[in-house]
Amino acid sequence: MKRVAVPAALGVALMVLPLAGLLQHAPWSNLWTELASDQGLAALRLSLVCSLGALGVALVLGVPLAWVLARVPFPGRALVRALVTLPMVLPPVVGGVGLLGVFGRRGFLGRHFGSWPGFPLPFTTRGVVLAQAFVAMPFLVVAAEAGLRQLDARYEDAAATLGAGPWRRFRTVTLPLVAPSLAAGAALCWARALGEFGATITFAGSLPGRTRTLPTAIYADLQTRPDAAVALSVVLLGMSLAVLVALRGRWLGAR
Amino acid sequence: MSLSADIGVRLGPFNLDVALHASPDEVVAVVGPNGAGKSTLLRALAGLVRLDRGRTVLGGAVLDDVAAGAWLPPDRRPVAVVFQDGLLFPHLSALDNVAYGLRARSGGRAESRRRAGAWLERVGVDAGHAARRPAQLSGGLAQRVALARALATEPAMLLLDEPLSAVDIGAKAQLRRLLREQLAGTRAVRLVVTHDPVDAMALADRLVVIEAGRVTQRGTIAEVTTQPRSAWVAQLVGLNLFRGRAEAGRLVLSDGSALTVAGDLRGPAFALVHPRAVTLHRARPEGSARNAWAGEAAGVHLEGGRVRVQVAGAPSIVAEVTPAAAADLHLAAGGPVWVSVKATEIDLYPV
Repeated sequence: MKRVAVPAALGVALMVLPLAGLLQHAPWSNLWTELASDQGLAALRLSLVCSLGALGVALVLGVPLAWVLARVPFPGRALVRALVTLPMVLPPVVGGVGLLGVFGRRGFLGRHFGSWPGFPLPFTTRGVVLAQAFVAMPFLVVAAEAGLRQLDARYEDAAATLGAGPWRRFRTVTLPLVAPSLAAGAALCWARALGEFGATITFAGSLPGRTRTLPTAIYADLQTRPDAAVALSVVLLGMSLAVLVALRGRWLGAR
Repeated sequence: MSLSADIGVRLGPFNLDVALHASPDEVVAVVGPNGAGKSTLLRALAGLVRLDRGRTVLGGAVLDDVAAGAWLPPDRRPVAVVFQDGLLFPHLSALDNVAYGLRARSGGRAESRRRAGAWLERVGVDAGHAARRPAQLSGGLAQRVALARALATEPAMLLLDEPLSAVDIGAKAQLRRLLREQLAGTRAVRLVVTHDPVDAMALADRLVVIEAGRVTQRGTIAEVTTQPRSAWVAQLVGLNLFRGRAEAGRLVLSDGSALTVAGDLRGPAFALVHPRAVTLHRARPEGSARNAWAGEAAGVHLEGGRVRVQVAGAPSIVAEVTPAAAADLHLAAGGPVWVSVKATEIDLYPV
């Protein structure tokens, strides 16, 4: 018992102490002024816009992708599934380099479409959304696919025999039944997008007001305005806790 | 509005290959052992399984025609299904479950719900239960809701897949009665898939027996039960059935053993023996019985005051004796036993 208790306690300490350090360091008395500063508010606003944008991209592309992976047998499905989930384990900075390779000024798409509407992407707010979506979408796809796999497809059969066409079946039966998985996946996806740093700073840089999200702002402020950096960190910690609480029924509540 | 179906579907261990006709003035039960392909047949009729061969026509409308490349998807067939475990949508109330089909067939929300309420009333579900989710309903009530949901779409063909199997015994008799009433009250082609002979006899006018993907017998209940043509049906109605070749007062079975029979039938034949006509003895019997052979009492079950004894031998047979006789013969522990059957007790008919 003792032999496992000590490393277990150390494990908890490893996870919890940095949070305690953050809270202990937080400039509680002027937290609000730090946050309400122009740079603070701009970073906060940009983070919300971009992370929600990334979540939107992930929903629009990720739900159909999850559906295909869960329901449509095709050769190479396992490979596609592996590739799609790769960003979960890939260092984000590598993802950023890869995005530059595609959409950068000399990237193989960026080179041709650089002058099209919506382009160029690097070092723009759209680029931030793209980088966050790249890193965060797998979380949504994995959760949605698991939900779709667990769903008894016979409910859709029942709906079909009652006269519901494919779209109505998806909207009135499939979607409501996978909603819990989808919500959990969306929460994780959003949280991951919100905290995205490596791919963002590599692909979109850290331009105040345009690409400087909360994590990149924290990094930029840490040398010059440490109080602001800690204050923004506290905000991110609060948001992460909020996601965790929202998911509690699924993970924390389970036994 | 009758059904004419010739259905071929490739399944794992065998192919489903069934021709089926049904008219709206009868309820047809599709019966057979588990895994015979009954549910696949039903799913094929509903359009949930594509045919590999064949053609289905319902009231003049072609639902499937493999040769012509025609297939009507399930949502466009005038076919409703009551699924085995109800399969009510768990996220909708009972009322919205019943309204679902009406809504899908472009009914307005309020009107659909009003009509759904009327259907629920017809099957004996009150307003209080109509507002509940399926998880809060008993098996019997859920199956009533499932029936109302299917009936509400006013289908040209109603398919019921083991409609009573998920219901506990207490609620079964009542639900069976309700099903009978409701089935009688609809002018649709009605097909009930079941492995339960009691359900089949209570609900259907005509039986189609399916075993390993093929129809082994069809006919009225009386026809099927008095002259079973498969071991499964015979067992179902509690009779012994032997198949063999009749020749000069004998029926030679596939295992080489033979029964002495009355009559002069020749050629492939069935022999039917009621378990009551089988006598058991502790030693080789003497007397008028033409058939006597030794066996081993393999299984003993008490059924309604009688003891059914399964005797393993050549051939194996089921005997029905009184509990007192079973005790005299020390059958409870199994062991050797002699069997005798009078030739005149063997019912012989051609295959």
